[in-house]
Amino acid sequence: MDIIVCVKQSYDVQQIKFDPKTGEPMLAGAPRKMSDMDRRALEEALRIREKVGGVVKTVSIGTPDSRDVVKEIYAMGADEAYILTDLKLEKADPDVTARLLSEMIKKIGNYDLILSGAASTDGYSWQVPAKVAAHLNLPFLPNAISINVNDAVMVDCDLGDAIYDYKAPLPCMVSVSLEINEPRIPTLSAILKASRKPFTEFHIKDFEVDLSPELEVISTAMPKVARKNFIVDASDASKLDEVRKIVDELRKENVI
Amino acid sequence: MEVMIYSEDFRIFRELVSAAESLKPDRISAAVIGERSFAEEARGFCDRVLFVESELDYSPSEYAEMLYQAVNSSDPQVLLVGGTAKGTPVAAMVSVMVGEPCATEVTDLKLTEEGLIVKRASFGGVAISDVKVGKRLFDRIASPKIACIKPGFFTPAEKTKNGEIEKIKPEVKKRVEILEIREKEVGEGFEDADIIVVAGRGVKKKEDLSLIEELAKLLGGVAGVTRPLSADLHWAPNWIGMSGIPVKPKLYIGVGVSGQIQHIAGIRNSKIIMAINIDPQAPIFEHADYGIIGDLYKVVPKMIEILKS
Ligand SMILES: Cc1cc2nc3c(=O)[nH]c(=O)nc-3n(C[C@H](O)[C@H](O)[C@H](O)COP(=O)(O)OP(=O)(O)OC[C@H]3O[C@@H](n4cnc5c(N)ncnc54)[C@H](O)[C@@H]3O)c2cc1C
Ligand SMILES: Nc1ncnc2c1ncn2[C@@H]1O[C@H](COP(=O)(O)O)[C@@H](O)[C@H]1O
Repeated sequence: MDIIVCVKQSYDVQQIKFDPKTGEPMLAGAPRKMSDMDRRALEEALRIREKVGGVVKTVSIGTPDSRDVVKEIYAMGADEAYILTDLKLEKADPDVTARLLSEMIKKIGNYDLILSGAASTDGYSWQVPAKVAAHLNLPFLPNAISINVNDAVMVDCDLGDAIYDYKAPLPCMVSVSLEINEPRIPTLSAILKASRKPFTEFHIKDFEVDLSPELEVISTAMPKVARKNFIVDASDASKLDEVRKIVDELRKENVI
Repeated sequence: MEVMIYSEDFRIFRELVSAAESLKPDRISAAVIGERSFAEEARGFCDRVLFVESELDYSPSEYAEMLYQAVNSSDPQVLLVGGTAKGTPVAAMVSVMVGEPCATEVTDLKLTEEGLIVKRASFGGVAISDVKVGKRLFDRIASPKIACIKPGFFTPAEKTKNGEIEKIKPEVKKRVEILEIREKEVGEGFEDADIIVVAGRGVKKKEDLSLIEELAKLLGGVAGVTRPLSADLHWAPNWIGMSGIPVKPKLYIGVGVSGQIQHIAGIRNSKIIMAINIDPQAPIFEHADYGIIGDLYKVVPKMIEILKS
């Protein structure tokens, strides 16, 4: 079974800082981590390989500071990592991203199954997997909460109002939900080994893809809601009466 | 200018009508797939209904093919799709087919001389962005710019029209098989609640949810949960937050909720935010008007006692 997993190095959204003057996000050097659902997609691919054998490859695109993701990909246990990074991809939208990913996948060739996250942690567009599937003309099953493969693939998808149990022919494209599995934590020795393992780099010039985004971000701002931050400490049995202060405040606010 | 709308859910369909009307189009058309009674109802809300006759159950690839045929049978410049788990992948695939961009998770939109401009959360809910969808509008026939509208942000429209129905019956290849459809329990509606008390992972057992429910009831509110309690542990059918139900009550109380950004993004518009958490460093306190540092198993009973007295 040849599995390709789309893995994005997201911004660590919990840690993004905003310029207090302009309200714009400060992205230069901002911390990053593997997109949460992509980690589950990779974990799922590794589990399938453990069950039925095969090869797990990953494809990632982004700006040059997203290259660290390869180390983590290998530390988790992937066989081959493919990456394309370029400063020009800073403004890449889901269209550009999906086009490049599908071109990379075509170059890599052989695959039975393509996995991805359902939505990336920072982009959160829910589009890239559907678009990759459309470009590669594959059937697409979104939001998987379980996957079973033999000569076909059985996928349970959480589609909001119901769980749909699908059976699809291979090859096909599946995006996974956050709850599909609990991803492994790589061992220290795996992490050390991973940093030496070679990976394949593609370059923008390898592809004829128009990089100018059709979705243009005009402005971004942190929604500002001033909060009162009136906090009491009732962590100790003797201080439990502090709770009364908060109840009194809520009464003054006329909400209870 | 024509705006076409599509959703598999009738309430969201009516929200899309309002979203479409806000663009002041010359006409609104609707694509309806499969359900004849939905198509009949839809006539009351738009000028033209493209009814795609089909027996196929939902799958993104096949539904995208059908929506694409509906687009080609009319001439929309904008296509609005209900941003549900089923709607969004269909819109994304149609976007590839028509060669036009699609914006998702859209909470507001407007049409300017520069084109279609939408609002959406960015960086996973941390911020809000204005995004221009496509370099210009109205360039080619049947090549709409697409936006997936997040449910709950537009008021559902009322019936005012009596549009015509046109049937189309495209040949669509069935690519996947459905073995089973397991309907989910319908959860609490949070739209009208003034007070919402949310339980997080700090609540250790399902039975302990009764403590949260008791507090909610006493305050005249409703109880909800965070994503892990619903999606992982199945203690409740739905959850509060960016990927669940966004809420804006007068009073939100998070009990044993850490306040990760995806949860905050869905409660940010609450008038007052209160948190009970044992960890003084929990991020939710930064977003709170009122906070109690302490063990929920002691603090909540104490609060109930005070409220009752
Ligand atoms: C793409 C994406 C979308 C997501 N969408 C959502 C969403 O819509 N909604 C959502 O909720 N989550 C969402 N999440 C998950 C989110 O990131 C967090 O994992 C989740 O909100 C954490 O839930 P929690 O606060 O209940 O649990 P935890 O983060 O585990 O927090 C539990 C808290 O309880 C406190 N606690 C423990 N014991 C006690 C006690 N005895 N008394 C008081 N406090 C106690 C702890 O200090 C801790 O702060 C999403 C994640 C991703 C990646
Ligand atoms: N730059 C990228 N590199 C690799 N995979 C990506 C990239 N962007 C998106 N994806 C994949 O597409 C999924 C959905 O992303 P999004 O459409 O941004 O919400 C992610 O979870 C990834 O699996």
